[in-house]
Amino acid sequence: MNQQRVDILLVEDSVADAEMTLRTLKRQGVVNTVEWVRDGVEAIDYLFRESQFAAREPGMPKLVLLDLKMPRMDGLQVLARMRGDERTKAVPVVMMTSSREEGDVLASYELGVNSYVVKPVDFSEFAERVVQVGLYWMMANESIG
Amino acid sequence: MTLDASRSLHRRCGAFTALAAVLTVSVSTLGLVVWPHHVWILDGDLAATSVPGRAAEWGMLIAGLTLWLRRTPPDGTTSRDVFHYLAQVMGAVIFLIGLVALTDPSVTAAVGFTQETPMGANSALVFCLLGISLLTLDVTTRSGRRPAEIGAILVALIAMAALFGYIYRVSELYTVRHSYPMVPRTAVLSFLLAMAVLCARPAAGFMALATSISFGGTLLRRLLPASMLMLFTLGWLRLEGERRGLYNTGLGVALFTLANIAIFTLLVWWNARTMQRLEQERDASEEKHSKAVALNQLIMENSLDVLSAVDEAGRFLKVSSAAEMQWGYTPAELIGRRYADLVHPEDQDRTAKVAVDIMSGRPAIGFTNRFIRKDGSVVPIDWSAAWSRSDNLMFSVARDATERLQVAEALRQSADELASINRELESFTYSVSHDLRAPLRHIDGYARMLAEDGGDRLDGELRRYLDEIGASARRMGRLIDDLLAFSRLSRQSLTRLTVDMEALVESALSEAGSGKPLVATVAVGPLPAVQADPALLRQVWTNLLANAIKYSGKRGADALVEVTGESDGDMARYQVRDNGVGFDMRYVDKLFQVFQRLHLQDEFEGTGVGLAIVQRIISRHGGRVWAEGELGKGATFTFELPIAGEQPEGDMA
Repeated sequence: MNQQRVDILLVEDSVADAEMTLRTLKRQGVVNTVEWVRDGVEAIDYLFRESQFAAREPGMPKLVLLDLKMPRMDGLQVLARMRGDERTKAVPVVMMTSSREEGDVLASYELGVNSYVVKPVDFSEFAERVVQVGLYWMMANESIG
Repeated sequence: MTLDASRSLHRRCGAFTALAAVLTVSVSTLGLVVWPHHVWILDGDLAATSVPGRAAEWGMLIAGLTLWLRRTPPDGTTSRDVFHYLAQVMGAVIFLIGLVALTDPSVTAAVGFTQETPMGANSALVFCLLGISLLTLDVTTRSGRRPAEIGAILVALIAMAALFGYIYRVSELYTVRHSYPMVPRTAVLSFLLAMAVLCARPAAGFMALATSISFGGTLLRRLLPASMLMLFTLGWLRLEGERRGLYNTGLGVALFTLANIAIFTLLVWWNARTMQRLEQERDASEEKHSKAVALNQLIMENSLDVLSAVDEAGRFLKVSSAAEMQWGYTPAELIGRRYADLVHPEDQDRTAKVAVDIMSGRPAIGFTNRFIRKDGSVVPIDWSAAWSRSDNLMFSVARDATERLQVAEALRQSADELASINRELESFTYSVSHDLRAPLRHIDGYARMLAEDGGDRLDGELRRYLDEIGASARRMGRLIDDLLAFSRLSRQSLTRLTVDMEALVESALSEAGSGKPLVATVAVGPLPAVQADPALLRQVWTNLLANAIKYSGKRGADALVEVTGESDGDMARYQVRDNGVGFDMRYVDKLFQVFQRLHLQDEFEGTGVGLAIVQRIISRHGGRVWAEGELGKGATFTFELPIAGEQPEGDMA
């Protein structure tokens, strides 16, 4: 981990999905640094520098890719915590999930998600969406910052 | 009816009494004014002896006035007024006039009636009796005798005797021995007053029978006047005939008796016939009545619901036999009890409110409360009750609601169960959509990563295997998506709007043909609009058009898809016809079933859900869909929808 601010925090309980996402992001050269945590609790710890992440460099990621269904604490809960805290209120969050259920989409938007992406079965489509989302929010961040 | 008939007779009696009183007063007043001269109109040529004396005129005047005052029966408190006492005093005066005249006819002269025609003994007796009758008009002895009645009848007899005397020219009848005669005017007025006294109280004693509508009353009213008149006339005829020497005594008696027999026979026969008719009428109405009573009884005994009549105070007047089965009380135990005593304490207030509503004319239908049975158990009851204003009663039907409530409860439970099963199903489909798709994505992802990273180490055949793995995973993904869409259809509610079918087909066509080069020629005819859910109908058109394009694709440039539509009564009918590979009609039943395909995956891609979705959408709109086809020649899919869109929704399975 270098001095630079982490580009993306990937919150994903599935090793396979995480591996595919990380590979795509890196191979397409979208970002330099991606931090991967396994569930909502770890995500909160990371964001607020608690327990195992107490010693990490300060600063917020430019984008959080958040899986919806996770053990312990799910994506909606993480999102609610982030939007309820001044430090993480403005961090862009993209919800990534396998589900197309309407309730989830609505709940996410009500909690202030920035984008909502359904992970397709087709890997090439999946890769395409990950890249699009990554590029868009990196650029949006740079233009803001 | 019975009462009305009697009442009308009573009214007529009252009118007669009033008329008689007025007549008597007028005649005697006139008599007093012109006294002591003859009044031709009043006395006629029968006035053989003289006009009545002043005492008799006064007596008649007072009697007429008394009768007028007392002509209506006393009704409770209002009877004892000044006029009542005045009438009593006048009655006494009449009696005294008679008494004085009876003891000493010459006294009348002493009290100032000079040039007086002395009153005969019979006239004096008439006044005595009239006085008593008027005084005792409302008296009935313990043995049921009425002095007024007896007095009146005696007066009538004496007066009649006098009249007969004049008409038959027998002076003994109007002149009591050694006394003065009763003048004709006095005789007529006495008779009139005697009848009026009887009629003044038509509901009492002898008159009660005479005015009743019973057979006896009818017979009395018909026979009595008729036979009196007949005997009087025949007697007179016989006497006159003999006097004129038309026949001797023997023949006279024979003729009189013969005529008597003949006329009596006629009279009795006529009356008997009338009695018979009346009896038949009464029997018929009694039979009708008894039939109604029997039917009523039958209903009261056999109704499974409790039928009851309740009075204003809420007491049972009549209860049907079912009460014992339903409430544990026999009808006899309930009659006279207040129904409120049986109502469950918690339902008392509610029941009382509804009862007020019912009594003010709003019938209660389907009101439910609880009764406490005789054994203390509680029974729910469904009521329907209405107030009868004419009877001042509440009629009600009570049905044991136990079973209905059990069924309702069971229904509610199974509805709850269904709802919870539905929720489970929902969460199941949710996890299917989420959890089944993830591994498929991984399979496809790793296969692709292997293909990308394998580089030169993989020959063509191995690459094809990897492609096949990926393709299978993706197909299964589509299968899951379609299946979810299909299961969602039955839960989704319909939004009915007016759908422009032609625009919808255009839009569906662009989706159906997307991704693939569209080789087929698609001809769309005019299509009628319907009331339907546009999003779901779009799905129908997309699936049908995609199928038509897919299965006619092998014909290349010759491929033709025709879309037509027409209205047929309440229904709109649409057809999608293609000239593709068609299908064997033997398998037409399998066409609309989930996962049923008539073609190999290699030949035509597909999950086998599309037509099942089409059928479900159409049936939910209250329409139907069917297919016709022939191998190698093409297929035609037809569906019908209600234009107004008001048919009930189809299967909810």
